[in-house]
Amino acid sequence: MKKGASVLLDAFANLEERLPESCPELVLAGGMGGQEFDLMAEIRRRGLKRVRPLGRVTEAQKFDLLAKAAVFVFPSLYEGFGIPPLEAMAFGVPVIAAASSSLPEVLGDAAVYVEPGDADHLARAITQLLGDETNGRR
Amino acid sequence: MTLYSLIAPNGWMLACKKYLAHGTDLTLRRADAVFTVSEFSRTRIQAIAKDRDWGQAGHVGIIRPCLSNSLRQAAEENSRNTPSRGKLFYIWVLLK
Repeated sequence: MKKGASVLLDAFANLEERLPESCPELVLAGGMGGQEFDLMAEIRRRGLKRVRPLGRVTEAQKFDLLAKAAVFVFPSLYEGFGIPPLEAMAFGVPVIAAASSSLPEVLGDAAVYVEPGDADHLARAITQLLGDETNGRR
Repeated sequence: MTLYSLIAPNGWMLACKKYLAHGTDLTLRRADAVFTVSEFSRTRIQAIAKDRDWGQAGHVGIIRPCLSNSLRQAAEENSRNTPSRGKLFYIWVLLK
């Protein structure tokens, strides 16, 4: 599916398994890119405990989330441009994006890229950035 | 002058191909100028145009969407009072 939510859930399942005590919360905001994708069913199927799906949010809610985020993950498989990761950058949030469609062109060298559809690669990138974030706050 | 725009919202990937090709068939022949938002999108447009008689397809300009000043301010202040703003994934602006 276009937004890559399935890949993100797979990656987060990896994190929950490896970091049972310190796994961060995954907040999903916005549409998941297709009626065929039952987000809640996919969360249940993977047994994920630290996922908070919000659905569509207001601009104010979005900015509030961005202001609190440790990492912004944008695994979308197809974008004509890609404003959300730029918004995250405006809030100083490190961005992980799929190396697909327009995203490398738009984000340049300011994002960490993962192979589209590669959940293991995405999990490693999240772990790395969370570690950097923790180190940066010390 | 008439302004045409084709905007494909999030989640329309499969519908987009047919929608954009059909809309472009209807309007591009009469357009004075065509713009899109990225090199990637331009390549897509030109790929669609390849087998069609679209004289404008070789002259597609790029307009980069930018973050609004209100968002920049919100980011600086962590303000929650930023006005709503639309999200555009494809913008084809056709001028006549």
